[in-house]
Amino acid sequence: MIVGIDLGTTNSLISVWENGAARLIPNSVGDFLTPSCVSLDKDGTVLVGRAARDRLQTHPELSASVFKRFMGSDKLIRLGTREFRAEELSALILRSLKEDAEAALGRPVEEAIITVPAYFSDAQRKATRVAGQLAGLKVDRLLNEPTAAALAYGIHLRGSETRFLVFDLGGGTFDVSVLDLFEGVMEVRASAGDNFLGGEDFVSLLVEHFFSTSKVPARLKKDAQFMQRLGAQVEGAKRALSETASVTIKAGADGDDYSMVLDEAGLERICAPLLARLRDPVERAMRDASLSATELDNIVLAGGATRMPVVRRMVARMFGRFPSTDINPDEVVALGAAVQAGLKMKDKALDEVVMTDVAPYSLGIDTARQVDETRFSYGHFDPIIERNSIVPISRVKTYYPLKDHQGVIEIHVFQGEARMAKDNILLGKLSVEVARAPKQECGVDVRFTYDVNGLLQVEATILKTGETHALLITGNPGMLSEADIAERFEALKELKIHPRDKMENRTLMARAERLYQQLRGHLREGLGDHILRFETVLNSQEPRRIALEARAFEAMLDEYDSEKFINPPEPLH
Amino acid sequence: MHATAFLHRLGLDHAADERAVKRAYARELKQIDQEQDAAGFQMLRHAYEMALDWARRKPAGGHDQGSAGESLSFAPPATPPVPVVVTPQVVPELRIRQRAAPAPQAPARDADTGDSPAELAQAVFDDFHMACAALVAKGRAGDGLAWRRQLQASLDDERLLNIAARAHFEFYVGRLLANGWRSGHESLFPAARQVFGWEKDRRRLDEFGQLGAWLNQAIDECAMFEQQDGADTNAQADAILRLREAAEPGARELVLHAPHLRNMAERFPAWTAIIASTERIGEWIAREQALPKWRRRKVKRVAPPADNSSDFNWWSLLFFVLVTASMLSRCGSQPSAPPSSSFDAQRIEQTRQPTTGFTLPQTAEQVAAEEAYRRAAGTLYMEPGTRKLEGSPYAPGPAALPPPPDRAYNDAVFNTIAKRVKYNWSPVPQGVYRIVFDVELDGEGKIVSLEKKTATGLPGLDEKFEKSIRAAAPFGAKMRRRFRMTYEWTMGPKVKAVGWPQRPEMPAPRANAAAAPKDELPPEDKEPAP
Repeated sequence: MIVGIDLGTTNSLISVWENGAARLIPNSVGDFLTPSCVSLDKDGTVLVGRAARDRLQTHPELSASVFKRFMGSDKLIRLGTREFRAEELSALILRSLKEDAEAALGRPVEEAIITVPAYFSDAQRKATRVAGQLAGLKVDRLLNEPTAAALAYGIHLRGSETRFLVFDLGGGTFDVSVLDLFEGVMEVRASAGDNFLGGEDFVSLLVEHFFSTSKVPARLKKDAQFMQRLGAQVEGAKRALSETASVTIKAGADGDDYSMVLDEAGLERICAPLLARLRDPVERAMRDASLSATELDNIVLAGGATRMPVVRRMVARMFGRFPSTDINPDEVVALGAAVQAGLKMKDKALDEVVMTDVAPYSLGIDTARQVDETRFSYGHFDPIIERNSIVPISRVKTYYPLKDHQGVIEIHVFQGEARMAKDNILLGKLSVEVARAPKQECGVDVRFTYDVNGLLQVEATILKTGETHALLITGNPGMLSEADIAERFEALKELKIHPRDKMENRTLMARAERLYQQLRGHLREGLGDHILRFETVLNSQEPRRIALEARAFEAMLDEYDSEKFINPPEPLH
Repeated sequence: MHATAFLHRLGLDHAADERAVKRAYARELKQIDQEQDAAGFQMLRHAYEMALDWARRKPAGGHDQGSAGESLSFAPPATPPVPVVVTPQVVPELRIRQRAAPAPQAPARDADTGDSPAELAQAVFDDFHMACAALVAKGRAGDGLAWRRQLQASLDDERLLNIAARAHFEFYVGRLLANGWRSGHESLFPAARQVFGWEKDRRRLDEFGQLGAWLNQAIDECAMFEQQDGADTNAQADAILRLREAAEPGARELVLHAPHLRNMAERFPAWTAIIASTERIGEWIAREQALPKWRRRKVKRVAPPADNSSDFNWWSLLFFVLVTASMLSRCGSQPSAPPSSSFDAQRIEQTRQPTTGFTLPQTAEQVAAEEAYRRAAGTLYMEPGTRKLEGSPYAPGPAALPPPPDRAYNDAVFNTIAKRVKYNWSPVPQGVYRIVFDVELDGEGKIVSLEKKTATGLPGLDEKFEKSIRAAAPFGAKMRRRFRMTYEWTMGPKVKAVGWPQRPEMPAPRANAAAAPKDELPPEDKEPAP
C-alpha cells in the first residue's frame, strides 16, 4: 500500500487511493488537517498536531512549527533539552500520519509519495527524502505540489483537452505550474516559484505592523508566549477577514492590553510587498510555457493562503478573470498525492492517465567566453539542462580547457537563472585531470542527469581516454550523510509519539491550558475548575464516563474559545 | 533523424496531423515507465517534439505560425505636449499571435477598465516616455536611481496589474532601448535590467524573439566589458563619455578616442548601440580616418592611448583598479549631456532631423556615418524589413527593426557551409580536428581573399571546405566583411546525443548556431555537387 502525504508548512495531510478514488484519512482527533507542529509532553512523549499547536502558546520552549522552512539547512531547533534538525521534526509528523493511516487501513504502511514545493532545491528535496527515511517510510516519489494539485483537479477532466494554471500559495512556499491536458496525458509545461513566500509571511508582516502601530514595547518580541499568542490572534483575524469587513486584534501582556483594528484595505496595503512578489513566478511560468493569459481555460487555486480575498483579487487582476474556487485548496495537494500513489500502484481505474513533469530550474556550469582571439570573460553560467525541460532528462555538453597544457579542468555545478554563475546556487565542484596537451585535445563531456524526483547526477568523461568521474553532491551544508541518517534514525526511535487512543483527550487538555492562559478574571477561574474536574475524570480510567465528560468538556471549550470571551467587547460606561 | 524516423516511432505516416501526433504520443507514453526506462522515455519525447513541430509546420494541418496574426497599430503622439528631447520613436505595428482556437470564456480585457492589455500598456508607456523626457530636461539623464524609480513607478501603475499588459509594457521599453541611444538611455538600460529582472533571469527576454536576443546580447556584452583589461575599460569608458558631450572633438581627441570607439563597436556592438549614438561613433571614426597621416602620428607621440601596461608593479595595479572602478560608474550613469539639450539639439543643424540610430539614414552625412559604424561593428547593421520576425507575440512589424544580433546570421551561414560538405567520416581515426579560414569580402559580398590558417590534415576535407565557402558567395550584407571561420569536431567512441544512435555524420561546428530563417541563407541552388 502506498499512501500520499502532503507535508506542509502549516498543515499536513495523508491520503490513499482506494476503490478508484482518492480519499483523505482523518487523524486521531478526527481531522483531515494535522497542524505541522511538534511538542514534547511532560512525560517525554511527542505530541503532533492540534495539541502541539496549542502548546506553542503555553509551552513555546517545548514546541516547534514552520520548520519546513529550514529543510535542507543545518539549522537546529531546540525543544527542551534536545536539538532537532528540520528533517527530524518532519519525520515525527510523518510518523504520526503513518500511524493514523495504519489505524484507518488496518495494515502497515511502508511506502509513501511525499509532495514538495516544485521550486524546492536539490538539498531541500534530499532533506525531505531523509525525513521519510527517519519516519521508517520508503519514499517512492517526491511529487511537486502544484503537479499534485493538477492531478487532483485534472483527474475528473481526463477525457477532455484543457490548459490550466495552478496557483499554489501554501503556508510557507509559493508555486505556479502551467499544465496541458490531452488524451489522458497531464503535461506540466512550466513551473516557477518562491520558496520563502506563504501565508506565514503575511502573519509575520501583520505582527510587525501590530508592534509598530499599537506601540507595543519591543522587549515583548523576546517573549515567546506573547509572540505565539499574538501570532495566533493575527492568524485568526486574517481568516476572519475572509468573511467580515473588519476585525480587532488584541493581545495582552503584563497587565497591558494592546489592540489594532484591521480591515480588508489595511491588509492589502500592509501586505502589498508580499502580493507584488506573487507576480514574478506567474510571469515566468507563463512565458516559459509561451502562453498568454487568454489561452488558459482555468486558474486552479491550491494552498490555504489562497483563501484570502486579497490574494484572490490579485489573481483576478493579473489574469483579468476569476479563478476557479470549486475545490478545497487545503486538500487538493494531498488528494493529488493519492492519485499519484494510484498511478504508481498501476491501479486499473487510472489506466488511461499518465503525467509528465519538468525540472523547475536550470542546471549548468561556470564557463569563460571568448571576447577576441586572446581575451576571455570569466564566470558566465552555461546551462546544460534548461529549466522546464521534461524529466527524466539527461544532457551532455563538451567543454575544453582555456589554455594549452592546462592540466586540470574545474567543473563548478550551479543551479539558477542568473547570467553570471556567482549569482546562482553552487551545488558542487568536480576537478578533472586532463592531459597536458593542446586544449583542443583535452575535451571533457559533462553529463547532467535529472530524475523524476528532481535529484541531479553529474558525470564528466575525458574524451581522449574515456575515463569517467562522477560528482556526488554531498557534504554540502544542509545535507546528512548515510551514517548520520542511521544514527539519527536510532536516536529518534526512542522518542514515542503520544498513544493514539489518548490523543483526543490530550488535545482537549492542551486546548484548555491554552485558553486558561488567554482568559482573565472569573472566566479563568471557572475554566480552572472545569480543568481540574476533567483531570479527575481522566484519572478514573472509566472509558464510558471519560467519553461522556469529554464531549461536555469540548462543548464548553468551544464556548470559551469564541470571540466574545477572548476579546470581550468594551464594558459599557 | 530522418523525417520518417520520428513518425515511425509514433507509428504514424505522413498523413498525420497535430491531433494524430498527440494521440499517438499519449498512446506510446502509456506503454513506458518513465522512471524505469528514462532513455526510452527521452527517445519518445524527442520523436514527439519533432513530430509536433513537423505537423505544425505542414501547410495543411498547421494553424499557428505566428505569422497569421491580428495586428494592432499605435500612432505616436503627433506633437508632444512638453518640449521633448527624447524624440518619440517610430512606433511599429504590434503583432499579436493568435491561436486557432482561443479559450472559450477568455476575456482579454481587464475587468476594471475594459481596455485591452496592449492599449493599457501603451497608455502607461506614453506616460513613462513623457516622464523620461522630463528627467532629461531636468538634467538628470545620468541619475540612475531616478530612472529606476521612474520605471518602477510606471510598473506599479494600476493599469499594469494585468500580466499581459505588463509584458507589453516591458516590450515597449525594450524596443525603446533597441531603437538606439537617446540621452538618458545609459541610465534606463541598467534600470530596466534591474526592474524587469532581465539580469537575474537569463531567459526572461526569450519571449521577445529577436528583440530579446538583441537585448540579451547587450547584457552579456556589458558583463564582458566590465571584465576586460583595466586599461581597455578605462579608455573605452572615457571615449564614450566624451562622445556623449555636445562639443565637437578636436583632431587630438579624435585620434585618442576613435580607436577605442571602434574597439567597442567591434567587441560590444549591441551594448554600445544602447549606451551611445552609433551614428556619432561612425562619424568620429570616419573623421579620424580622414585626418592626414602626419597629424595622427603627431598626436600619438604627444598622448599615446592607454595601452597594455608592461611595466608592472603593485602601485600601478592599485591605481588601475581605482581608475577602472570610477570609470565604470561614470560610463554607466554620469550625466554628460548638458541640461535640456542632447547633443543632437546643438550639433545637428536645421537641415537634419534628429533620428533614432536605426531608422533609415536620410542625409548623405548620416549615410556615411552609419556606413562607418557598420564597418567598425562589422556585424551589427541589417537593412530594416528584411527579416521575418517569428517566435514572439510582441514582435514588431518589419517597419523599424532593432539592429539585429548578426552573430546568429553569421553562425547560420557557417552552419550551412559546413552542412554542404559531404565527407565520409567512417574511416577517420578518433581525435579532435580543426580547420580555420580567414575570409575577406568586398562591398558586394564577393570573396576578396580566402586563407587557410589551420588544416585538418584529413585527405580531401580541406579542399571540400574551401569549395563550399566559395560556393556560398556572394554573402549577404549582414555578413562581416572580414571574418574567421573555425570549425572543430571530435571523433570519439561515445554516443553524444541522448539516447539516439549516432550515424557518423558531420558534427555540428563549435560556433553556437542560432536558427535564422531559411530564406536568408544563401540560396540552396549554389550547393556544390557532392
